[in-house]
This record gives sequence, structure tokens and C-alpha cells, in this order.
Amino acid sequence: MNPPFESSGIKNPEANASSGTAMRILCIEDNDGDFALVKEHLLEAVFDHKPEVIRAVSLKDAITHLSPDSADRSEFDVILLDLSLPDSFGPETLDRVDEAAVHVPIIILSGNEDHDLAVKMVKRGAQDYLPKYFLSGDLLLRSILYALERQRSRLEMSSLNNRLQEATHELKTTQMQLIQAEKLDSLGRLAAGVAHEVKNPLATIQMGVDFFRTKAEELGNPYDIMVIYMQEAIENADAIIRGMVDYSRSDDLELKTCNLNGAVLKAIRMVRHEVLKQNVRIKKEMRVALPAVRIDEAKMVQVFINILMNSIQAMKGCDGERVITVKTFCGKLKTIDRDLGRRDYDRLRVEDLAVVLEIRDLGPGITEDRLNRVFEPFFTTKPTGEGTGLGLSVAKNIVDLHRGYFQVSNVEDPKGLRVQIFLKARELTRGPMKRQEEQLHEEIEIQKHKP
Amino acid sequence: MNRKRILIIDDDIPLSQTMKINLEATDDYEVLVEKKSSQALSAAREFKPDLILLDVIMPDLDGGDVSALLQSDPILHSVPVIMVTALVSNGETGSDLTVANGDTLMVAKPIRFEKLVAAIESGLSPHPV
Repeated sequence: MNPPFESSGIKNPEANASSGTAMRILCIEDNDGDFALVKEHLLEAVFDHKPEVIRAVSLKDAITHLSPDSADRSEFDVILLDLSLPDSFGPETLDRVDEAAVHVPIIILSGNEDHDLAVKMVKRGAQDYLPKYFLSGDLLLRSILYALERQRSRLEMSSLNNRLQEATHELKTTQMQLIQAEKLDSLGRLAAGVAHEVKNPLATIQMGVDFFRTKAEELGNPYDIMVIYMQEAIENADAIIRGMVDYSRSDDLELKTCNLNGAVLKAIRMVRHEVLKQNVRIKKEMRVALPAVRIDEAKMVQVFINILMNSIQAMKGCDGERVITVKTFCGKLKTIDRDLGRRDYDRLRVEDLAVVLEIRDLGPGITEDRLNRVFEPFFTTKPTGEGTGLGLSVAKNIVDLHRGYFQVSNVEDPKGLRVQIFLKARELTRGPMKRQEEQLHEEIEIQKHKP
Repeated sequence: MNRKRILIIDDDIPLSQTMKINLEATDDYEVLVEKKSSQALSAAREFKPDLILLDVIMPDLDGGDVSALLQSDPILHSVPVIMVTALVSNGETGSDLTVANGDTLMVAKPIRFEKLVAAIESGLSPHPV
């Protein structure tokens, strides 16, 4: 783990404590005699290198030394502070100095021994509270070294805490997405199951009612009335099931007919920062004349970002070239792996025209035994802290809601991981129709899922 | 009287039988029911229907698979197919309970017999090219 100091922009105080260069100490003390005494103790203490002691005689003076404009601002390793200054007194002095030197440990040197005040000051952020008349070189040295160590742990802890908070936030967001997507998915399956099981008998009863209708009308009351009531009952039951199918379909997807390339380009733009940071090149092989798809663009962009980020992370440890190939194309489906739990007349079928997004990286891929598990919630191949394991399962749920197909496979030549998303083509976009149709004769395959 | 030949492919026997009874009662149609989707192709080759009513959700091959098989058959590809489905939401059907899914005509279950007949007649009439 990197020390927290690097990222927080201040130097590692430990580096000066026992080795390396001399420690720089800011002593904030207005009394000449007291300052001379402190300096003497500091000089007699057994530091590896004699410390450099800089004096400030007032709060204002101290803040000037610590201000961002001061060239040596970040170079103090420790502050020795007298709380009673000409321009400031008591706890406020500590607050002001602490504000001006956020990560520099502060040791209070006090004229009297006040235990209550000492505890108060340590709670307020001071590292130690030493009465001046007890001072010795050894005591000061020990106090400074302990202060540096405590400060180091505090910074490390706060940095870890920040990371924990970020991870928790990310986990919560993804969990919400997962729950939402899963809820819709299971509701969709339930609605489809109920619709099928109830509508078939309803359809049979409808045929029966229609069969008797003419006869009943001839016979008149009450036969014809009976048929009318039966007809109403069928329609009411049908309306309820339709409402359920409606609800599960449209609840959360804002479907619009659009070109997939637009959504893909948006996702690429949104990972640009990470692409630059990780020195990755994105190679675009996107077919211009692509039939339209019906998608919730915002959700699909999330899916694409998720896959792109996975690819970027997968290539982190790679020495070779880091290239992600993003390809869009379309073709007729020659094979299909059917999700038997999903009942949908509008699913992808053999001979359907499908629009495909393919994202390929040059990372290590995923071992075959893990490949079948990548869509399981909380399954991750990343080190702890780098992935929640929810991303791909949410992404797949979103693609499922679009009645599309999500496929992950290892590829060779060049070796890497390939993710493909198949979506049903809705209509040809404007342009020379003939040419588009000629281009569509590519044949594509969905691999059968291994049990 | 030249009765039109209708092949019903549906695993739900009560439904396909009641459809058959109603259709044959009009004296306009001759109906064959095939309950196994895997037999659909051979039943169609033998029966030579003028139109096929095809259920969507069936065990083994589903309606979409059967439709794809029919389309790739050199003789049967020209036989009009009407898909019959339970899985239609309100937004997807018009007042006639039909939904056009690409080139395929779909009707929603439950459908009133007169509307089924209208859909069949529209399927049988030559399509404008």
C-alpha cells in the first residue's frame, strides 16, 4: 500500500525522524527566554541530524510561515506551540495553527501543568502537551518522534477511511441498481408465466362463448344475457393480466429507437479520463450504416462504461500494448442460446437481424471455470477493494430487460477477453437501402452456454 | 365449396380444439391440429395448409423457432403464418388485438372468434408488394 502522504501532497514526516535530512521545526514562542530554552533542549537531543529550528513570535508570524505563499510551508515536520501569544490566547491558538498546517503534528509547550487543559488540547488535535519547566532533550525527542508516528497513523487511517467510504458508496449504488434490475427481471418472468398460464384457458373459454353466442342469441333471455356476462368476465380477467405484463415491461426502461453507435461513443467519452490515466488506446471499428435498436440509452451507456472499465482494469498489469477494440456490426443470427426461464415473443431468434457491440481487450482473460460465474452477483476476479462484483450482473440484467443477449468469452490471436452484446435490429436507418442489405449478410453466432 | 386449409400448431389442446370446432362450424375452413412443435414442419409438408396459426410459447421448439424453420423451407416459406401469443402488453396491440412484429402478424390471446377470422382472412389475402 502506498503511504498516504504521497497522495495528500505533504512529505512523509517519518523520513526525517530517524534518517535522511534534518528535521525542520517551527517553534511558535513569543518569549525570548523560553525560546532559547526550547532550542537548547532541541540541540542537546540525540537526533540523527541536527534539526533546523525556525521561530515565529506571534500567531500572525506563524501563519505567514505556514501560508501557501510561503516557499517552505510544507517543509515543517513538527510545530512546537505556546498557546499564549501576543495576538492569540488559549485553545483558539491551536485551532488557528492547526487550520494553517493541516497535516503537521503540533506539540503544545505550556507554562503550567493543567491536566484538564492538556486533555482538551489533545482531543482538539494536539499531539502532546508538555509543561516547559519539565522539558529535557530526551523528553522533547521522544514526544516529537511519537507525535510523528501518531500523525502518520492518523493520516493513513483517514486515507483508509476515505477509501472505505468511497467503496461503501459504490457498493450501495450498484446494489440499488442490482435490486432494481433484478426486481424488474423477476417481475417480467413472473408476469410472463402468469400470462401464459391464465390466458390459454381464457382463450379456450372465449372460443366456447363464441361458439354458443349465435345459439344463445336465437334462444333469447336468459341465454343471451348469460353469454354477455361471460364475455365481460373474460375481458376483465384479460385486462388484469395485460396490466401486469404492461407494468413489468415499461416500468423502468425509457426505450427509444436509436443508433447504437451514439450510445457507444458516449460511453467511450465518459471513460476518457481512465483511458488516458492507464495509457490505453481505444480502437474503434464501428459500422456506419447500422440498423436502429430500441434501447434505454442512459442505461445502456452504463452497461458499456462498465465493460470498458473492466477491460481497462484487466490490462493494468500488462506490459505489452494496451488496446481496447470497440466494434459494432450487424448480421443474421445463426445460433442462439435460449434462456428457458424467459418467456418472450420478442426475444432474439435464429435468423433475426441483430446489432452487435463487441468490446475486446488484450488482458489475461478469465479462466474457463470462472467464465460461467461472471454474471453471479458479488463474483469478482479483481482484488478486494477494486470491484464489488455487481457490475456485470447488473449489466446483464439490463441487457436482458432489453431482450438482448450478453456474451463473455476468451479469445486468441490476439489473446484477450471479448464481451458481446446482441440486440434485435428494429429498422434500417436512412440511407441507400440496397447497400445496407448487402452488408447485412454477415452471419453471427451466439455460443451455447456451458452447463 | 373450396375450404381453406388451416394448420394450428399449439400444445394447448383445449384451445386448439375449440378453435378448430369454431373454424369448421363456419364451413369455410378445414383444420388440422398439431400439438408437437417438433412435428410442425412435417405436419405442414403433409397437410399443405393455406395458413398456419402458430402458438408462441411451447415446450421444445417455440413459435419463433418454428417460424424460422418454416421460413427457411423452400415450399413452406410462402405460407402465411399468424402467431398467437399471450405475452402482449396493452401498448403493443391495436383495437383489433393484433400486433405487427416485423412481417409476422400476431394476435393476442384471448381473441374473439370474429377477430380471429378477420385476421385469418387478412393473412390469406395476397399481400400488396
